[in-house]
Amino acid sequence: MTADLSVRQAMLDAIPRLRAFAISLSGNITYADDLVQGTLLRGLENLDKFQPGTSMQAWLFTILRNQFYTDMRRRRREVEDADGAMAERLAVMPEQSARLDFSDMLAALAELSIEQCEALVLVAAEGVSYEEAAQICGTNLGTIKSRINRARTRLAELLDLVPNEDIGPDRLVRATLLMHASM
Amino acid sequence: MLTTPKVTQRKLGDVGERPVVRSELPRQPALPPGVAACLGDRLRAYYAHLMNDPVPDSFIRILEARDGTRSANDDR
Repeated sequence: MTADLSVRQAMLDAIPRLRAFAISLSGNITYADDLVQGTLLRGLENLDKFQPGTSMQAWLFTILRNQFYTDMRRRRREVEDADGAMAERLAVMPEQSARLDFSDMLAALAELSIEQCEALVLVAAEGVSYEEAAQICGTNLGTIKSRINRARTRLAELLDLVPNEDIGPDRLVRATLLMHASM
Repeated sequence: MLTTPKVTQRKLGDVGERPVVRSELPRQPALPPGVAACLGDRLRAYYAHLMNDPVPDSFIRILEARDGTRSANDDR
């Protein structure tokens, strides 16, 4: 009974983090809540597969992430459009953002690839270790670090924290052309 | 209200499995420390904001329903 209570409490404690992770991944609160609900149900149905002494939160994150990718693959097949899934992510942003004060961050996260987004959110926002993030995402440490690095750089550009490097050469070319034109 | 998720209708094969490991080369310059710190602060503030949302009752009911099912089974 004690074990049951501790398992239940661990699942309860994980819910706000699961929900924040799901919203960050999908950009859609309704779908994120469905994901969390499904994750809890799957977790309960598969509790015998949970290894006592390991992180319940990490285990539930893995279930949620796997379900998210399954849904994404199914939608890609249905839409048969490589950009369809991303378009769907972005399409739900405006109406959802009214409920959030941090819509700019949510919109910027939606611009990242899902792999970069999940890695960045897990480590930089959620606070899990690089090793744990690699385990949750099913990849290695180097890949997680690389994804986070790229995600940080892109996010900083999107949030106007640094000058967009893509603009640099164009400005240079424009300035050169103007100089030649004025000669 | 939340709809019944489709996840319950799918196979459970991916639970507990280790996904395929792929590697990517880390080739990206790091952000200036001040920018990285600012970005980290904003990300954590955003995440804290999301986590402060009240937990939907439906989630708690899922866990309570499990407790009810188990105690009913224990009584038999």
